[in-house]
Amino acid sequence: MGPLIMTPEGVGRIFAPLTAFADGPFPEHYEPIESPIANPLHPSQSSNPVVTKMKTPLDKYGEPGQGFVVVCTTYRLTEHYHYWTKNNPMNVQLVPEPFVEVPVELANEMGITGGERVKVSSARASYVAKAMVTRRIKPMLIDGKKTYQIGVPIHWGYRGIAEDEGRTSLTPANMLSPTVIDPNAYTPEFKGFLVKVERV
Amino acid sequence: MATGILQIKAISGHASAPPGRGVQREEEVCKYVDVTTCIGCKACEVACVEWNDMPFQQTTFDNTYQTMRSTAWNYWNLIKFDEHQKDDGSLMWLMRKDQCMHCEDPGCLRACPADGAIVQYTNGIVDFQQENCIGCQYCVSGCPFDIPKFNSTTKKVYKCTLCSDRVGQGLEPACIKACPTGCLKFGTKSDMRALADKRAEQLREHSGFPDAGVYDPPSVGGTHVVYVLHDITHPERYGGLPANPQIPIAYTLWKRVAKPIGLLLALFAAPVAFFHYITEGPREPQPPDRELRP
Repeated sequence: MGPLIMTPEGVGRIFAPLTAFADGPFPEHYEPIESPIANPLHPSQSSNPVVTKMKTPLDKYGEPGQGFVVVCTTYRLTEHYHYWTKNNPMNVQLVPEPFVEVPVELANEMGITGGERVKVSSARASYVAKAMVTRRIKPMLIDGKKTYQIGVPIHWGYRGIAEDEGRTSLTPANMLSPTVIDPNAYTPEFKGFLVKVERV
Repeated sequence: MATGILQIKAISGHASAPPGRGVQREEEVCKYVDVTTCIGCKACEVACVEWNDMPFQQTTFDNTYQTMRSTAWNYWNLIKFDEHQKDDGSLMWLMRKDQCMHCEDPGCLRACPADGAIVQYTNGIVDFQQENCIGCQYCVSGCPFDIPKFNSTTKKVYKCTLCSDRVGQGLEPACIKACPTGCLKFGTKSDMRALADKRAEQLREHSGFPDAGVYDPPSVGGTHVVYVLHDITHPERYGGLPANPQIPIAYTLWKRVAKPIGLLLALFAAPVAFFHYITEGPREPQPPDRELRP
């Protein structure tokens, strides 16, 4: 049995009619709503035209020209699960505080040392946390420009063991990401957006 | 005192001889840790804390995924994370499960002056008996792996017990049970050593790790925890694993040289005193010391 269990044929489709796939019928590459470059295939329509965008005052989008030059992605840790383990002493013992993973090269450029607090800002909000300086994230060369990426684990918010002790900035990580909703899976664009990084 | 697994000698109403009858069970146990397939999930850390009912401690962010700097009196099992950059620029994120190595020739046992505070079972497990511990912390400096840790409130030292309570009932240690990837295994020393050698060979032959090997240091007589490492020539990269662990020479000189000589001298003090009494007689009253002239 193959892996494509969701299609009636059991195999992948190159042509997916609009009844099956909201942004079909052919596979296509789109950049996220906030991207360091314009889409090389068709710069005039860089991002997906059928995503759902919200219309609150917080739904602003940033561009590299505004200083948002660092790519940011959010993800999960093994030691925590979503937002409830920040209330569990065992999980909090394993990973106690929110942090931001910063590449060594970017940290050296900005003079950041590991454990120092940094402020990550997107067009929507700011997130302050300690920096984890790591070699595991390497700088990227995109369109001839050296582009950095940082990583923000999501598991902290406004209540929790560390939060209630006043050891965190109380901001959820998803204040940073844009609420641009995928037309098929209804997932917001948590995984790729632009930020700027500053020392606190 | 043996707390071995129960072996069946006879079964009522049974068709054939009891299985395994007459087989001599190998005593020595061993924990197998394949560092190359560890994902650093810390399930083993949690299992150890939960099984041993240890109280939580507050930790702080220390620029690493490692839970804390070193094992603690209430944290006997710690994954050590190290980012190692190779010469060709590629990166290896090394994760090694750190805990007591249960040496065949334990430095803690040699250093300990308290009768019964540290015992080594026939199966190789080295266990602390805190009731007999005097809190001198000689074991802390005697250990080549920096494992035992002192609790300043109870004044006792603590470390991994290789779940001697579970092993005594025929179960595997808690960490081995919790591991999701199967990189932790438990069995007899010969079986685990054979598994480790086979895995190291597989890494050398098929996985592009020409320096892979098994860490089972002969300088402490071998250990009842064996590691399979990508690079056996540089164990210090894996959270400071010593390449050639040694028991500090002071403890060897004390226990193996000075102590026997001292005991021997003390033993001969009694007959020497006796013979002196016989030949020279008892102590006579002495004339008073002459006063010094002014």
